[in-house]
Amino acid sequence: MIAQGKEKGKTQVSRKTTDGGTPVEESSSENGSFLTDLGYRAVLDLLPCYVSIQDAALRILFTNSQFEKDFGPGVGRICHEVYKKTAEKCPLCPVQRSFSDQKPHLSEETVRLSSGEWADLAVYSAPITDIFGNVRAVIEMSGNITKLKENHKELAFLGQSVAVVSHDIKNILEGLQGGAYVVDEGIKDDDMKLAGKGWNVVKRNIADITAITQNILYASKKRFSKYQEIYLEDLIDDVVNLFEKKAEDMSVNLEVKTNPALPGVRVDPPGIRRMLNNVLLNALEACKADKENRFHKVTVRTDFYDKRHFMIEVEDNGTGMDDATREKIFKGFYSTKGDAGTGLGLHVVDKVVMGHGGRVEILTMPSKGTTFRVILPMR
Amino acid sequence: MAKRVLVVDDEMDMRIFISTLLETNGYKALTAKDGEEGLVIACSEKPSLIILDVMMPKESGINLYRELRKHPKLQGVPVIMLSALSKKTFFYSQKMLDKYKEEEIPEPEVYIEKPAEPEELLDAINTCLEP
Repeated sequence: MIAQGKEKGKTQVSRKTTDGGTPVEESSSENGSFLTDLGYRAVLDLLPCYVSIQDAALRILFTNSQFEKDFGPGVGRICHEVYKKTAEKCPLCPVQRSFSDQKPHLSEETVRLSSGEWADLAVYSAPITDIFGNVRAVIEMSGNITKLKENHKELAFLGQSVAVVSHDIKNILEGLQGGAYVVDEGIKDDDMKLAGKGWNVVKRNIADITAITQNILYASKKRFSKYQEIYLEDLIDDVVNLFEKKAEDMSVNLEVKTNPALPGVRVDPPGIRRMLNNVLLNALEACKADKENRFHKVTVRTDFYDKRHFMIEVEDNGTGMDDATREKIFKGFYSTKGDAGTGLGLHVVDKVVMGHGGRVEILTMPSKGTTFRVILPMR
Repeated sequence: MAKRVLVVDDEMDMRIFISTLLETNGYKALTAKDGEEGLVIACSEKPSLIILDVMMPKESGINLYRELRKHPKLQGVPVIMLSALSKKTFFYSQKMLDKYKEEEIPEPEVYIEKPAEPEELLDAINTCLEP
């Protein structure tokens, strides 16, 4: 016989009055009786969370309707098969822990709903004992915390961004101060060549801080894309023009090869521009960091990918990446450039490409170079 | 003849800034963009002073500093370390490396935390190069 439900029921039936007088019937007759009428089953069904009861073999004995709605029918099936769609038991499963130590437990689990979606749950488990104190079953109650986790991630991201970006801005300020000093010295000595040199330092740092600011805005704001039909060639020429001087300074040959047969495409031009900016900058910096090749080249290419997709490729013969680096580069704030990078660039690339319903392919080999391929639907 | 000062920094802007500071104050500036290049130039040009950034790609300033101090022809050249790394962290890392490598490397003449004010840096340069 299961005791918990009965005891719970008992506590609700009567309670001593505060003046110590005779027990009176709980005011439930007026306020709470409809609950009794409703029955516990209905109350459990009303809960906006998942409730299930499992036996020692982890077979589900009971589920509420919220559970059935999101996971499908579960009674009679093994819990991890239903919650996680896996044949393996969950490590550190709270239900098994409640079976072994007869105590309630809490854990966070990632589950798969019958819609195929992944969800994060906060799972509470509590033992259900018989009158001899033996655990006969465990009740599991889980709340969906997916949204909460997402907010948490965004907050962590923002926190990190403040730290990384302040460091970066400090570097840029230093550049600006240094540049201003050189300009001053040039003016003082009437040496316009020196002043011009200083002014270039100032301008370079202004460009850097502009890029960082735009990336932060892109990374942290929910912005609405404005799609419009454009010819890719024009946009690419615009962006590449911005980098020509930089490429020349770095002695990198910058080349554009567009397929003239490519029709107009529907994209969010500021997004694609931002994305291409970041990918191009990475390619140039991969060349700068590479000390092995003498001749460095970056090629920007556009072409059909298949019937319904087009691609923008940026190929460099710079340092290339090993597998471990390739895995990590899309994480916000991962940078291979030490002081010189925030790691925000590719995070923004990812965001723009996802927003367009596209994907990224990276072909890379250490000391050979990298081809960064962005594949987008024609729409 | 103007005294030669070698500036080793991976940031082009810093190299421009410090060499301007040097040139406008009567010194001859030599520049290198990483530790490896720095060592080559130091060996061939025998500068009177070396201004060294700590964090650089390829050979770091920490390694180059230790190599300079062990180099028979360069160990006497004064060094100004210039870095975004705090002084405490740098000296701690030096002590740890001393212990690990079982050697004792003397501390640099001057350690300046970035951002460096032009006057502060110039004072340090002048002091190091006083006859």
